[in-house]
Amino acid sequence: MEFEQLKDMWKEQEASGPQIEVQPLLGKKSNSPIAIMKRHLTVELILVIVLFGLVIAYYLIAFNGKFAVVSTIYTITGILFCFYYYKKYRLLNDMECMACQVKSNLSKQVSTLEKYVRVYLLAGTAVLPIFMIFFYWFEYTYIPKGRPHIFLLPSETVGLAKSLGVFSLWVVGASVVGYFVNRWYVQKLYGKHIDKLKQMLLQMEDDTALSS
Amino acid sequence: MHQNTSQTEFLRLVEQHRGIIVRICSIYARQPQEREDLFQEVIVQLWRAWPSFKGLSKFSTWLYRIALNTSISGLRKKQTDLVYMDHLQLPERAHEDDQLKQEQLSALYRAIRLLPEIDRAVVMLFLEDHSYEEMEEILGISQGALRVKMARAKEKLKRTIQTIEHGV
Repeated sequence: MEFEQLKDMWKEQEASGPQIEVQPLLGKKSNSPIAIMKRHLTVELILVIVLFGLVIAYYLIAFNGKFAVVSTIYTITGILFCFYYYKKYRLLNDMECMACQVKSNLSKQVSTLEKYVRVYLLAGTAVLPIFMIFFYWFEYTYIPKGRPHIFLLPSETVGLAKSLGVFSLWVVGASVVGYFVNRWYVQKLYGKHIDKLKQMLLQMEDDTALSS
Repeated sequence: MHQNTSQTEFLRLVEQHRGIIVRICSIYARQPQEREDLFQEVIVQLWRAWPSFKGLSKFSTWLYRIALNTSISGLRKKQTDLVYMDHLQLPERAHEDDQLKQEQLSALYRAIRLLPEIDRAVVMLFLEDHSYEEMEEILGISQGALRVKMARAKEKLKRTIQTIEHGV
């Protein structure tokens, strides 16, 4: 069949597609991947606020407020988390331009999603050493000598240099492991989608190169 | 009051261009349920973007962009390769050759769906009689590149349709 015939046939068709009324759809939520990511982010933020709130309240009240410093640390971390969520939300908002040309929308999505993944990876990797440093300092300052503790703290038998050296090895080791675990997880979450978007972008760019 | 007028205008324009949305959904989704989901998502995206439509481009150009962006980078469920008859129809006539045309149309849709995502959009716009200039405005691909793409896609489509028609 010739292509012109196909064109005629295409023009002649009547679309009987989904018989859905349009008006009731206007109030519906979007189910696009970005809209879903935004909803997940909101749920995550609520969870962090609730859980951190509980921890903060507990350490303010329990032990006669002796460990109120934990609440302070959690408050600071919570604020950092809120900033992190705000940054991610902003990136998600910038991720799509539905009324833009298909190519520029795809390109925008790829670059913003890559930024998003970098923020995710950086924050995910940074959390573990930050908490380790806090707990090391907390044990050193608040746990009485002779009581069980996680880290090798300076004592009569362990010098400060040795304690810090061993602790640094722990931090570096945990950060390296944390980085690779995070990278694997981020790749699992977004890797395929980014590859697919890049592949489509390449389809558009390849032919541009061919035609010039 | 103003919002009601705006909504009425939106609904009127969408109904007027409903066919475009249905055809886009049909080239990007195979299963009826997927098409329905995609159709709904396109409407949701159109309505969300409606306040920013200033009429600087034609409504259809704006609609094509949103519908294609939604379909190409939006819902990405794993599609199965089940073969079934498309429910898009030719105008109802009593002629016997309509059955044949219906089969040919179905084969055309199936062949288009076998193309890469971007080529599907190019072919569809070509079949809808858009000029290369309009296609560039919607897709953002240069006219030269579009011509190259179209020439290749035509060859692929011919071969695929022949294969489908001969039941291979």
